[in-house]
Amino acid sequence: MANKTYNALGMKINSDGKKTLTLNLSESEMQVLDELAVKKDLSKTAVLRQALRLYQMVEARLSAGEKLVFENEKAQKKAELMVL
Amino acid sequence: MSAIPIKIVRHQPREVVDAVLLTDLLPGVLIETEKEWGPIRREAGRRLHRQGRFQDLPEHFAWDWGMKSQKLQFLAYMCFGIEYAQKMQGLLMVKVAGNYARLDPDKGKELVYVDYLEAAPWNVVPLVDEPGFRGIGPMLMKTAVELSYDEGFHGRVGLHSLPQAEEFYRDTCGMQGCGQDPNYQNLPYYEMTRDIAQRFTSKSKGDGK
Repeated sequence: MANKTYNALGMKINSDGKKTLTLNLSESEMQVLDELAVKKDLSKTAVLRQALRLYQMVEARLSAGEKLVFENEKAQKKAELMVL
Repeated sequence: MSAIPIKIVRHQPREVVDAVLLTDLLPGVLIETEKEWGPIRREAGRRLHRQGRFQDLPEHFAWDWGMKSQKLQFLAYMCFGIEYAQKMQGLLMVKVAGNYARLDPDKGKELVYVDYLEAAPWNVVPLVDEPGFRGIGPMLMKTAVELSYDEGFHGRVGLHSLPQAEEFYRDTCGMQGCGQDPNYQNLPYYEMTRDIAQRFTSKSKGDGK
């Protein structure tokens, strides 16, 4: 098991360079996380890591003036996702 | 960046040598690699053109790892390299978020998407008559599969193949073709399911690759 130390912010730093963050979620947020983890067959950590990776890409493209659009080819519908 | 000891096979004389798999490559490494590979790749392309071997002209002739390195600003992208004697023998760039399996039984679940995979030009026939090292491509594909396991994706890998590379992904890696993708330059899409991944990694181990 990886040894852990703590940085100046009190975050755990594992010997493999990964940091441990304590996350406070509401019951409903935790429920969504649980459901996504089951649906995707991933750990909760992996789900949150995926979310961060996608959020970073979406944010960069929106900042560059692009739009995020969802398309349903069968229904021939397109909807722009409003990100505030 | 970390270095994992691996074995690769020199073509002539045929022998197994110690190399390293470099993980989490930084953009600067890709830029330096392109400075070395680019002129060799382009000169080989010009030579094949002069010889009239148009069918052998590499379809990745215009690749530029320096340009591709910009993607590494995003967490979703990772790059790996195989290094021997301070020379990069192959590069792999993958995307680990935003791509989903198209094949059952894991349709809709995350996979590792192989964005780019290239062996050094001195390891690619017909860019050279005799490759320096063999098995760089399979080793990089195995890296993608191992990453997929590490990410919790059960070995699932997907990619769009250039036509010249289809035989490699289909026959060497055993990936399943899903047809041309009209949403991606009409390139053929290939996928490795968890079952295919298991067969591929066990076969690779058996081959000593």
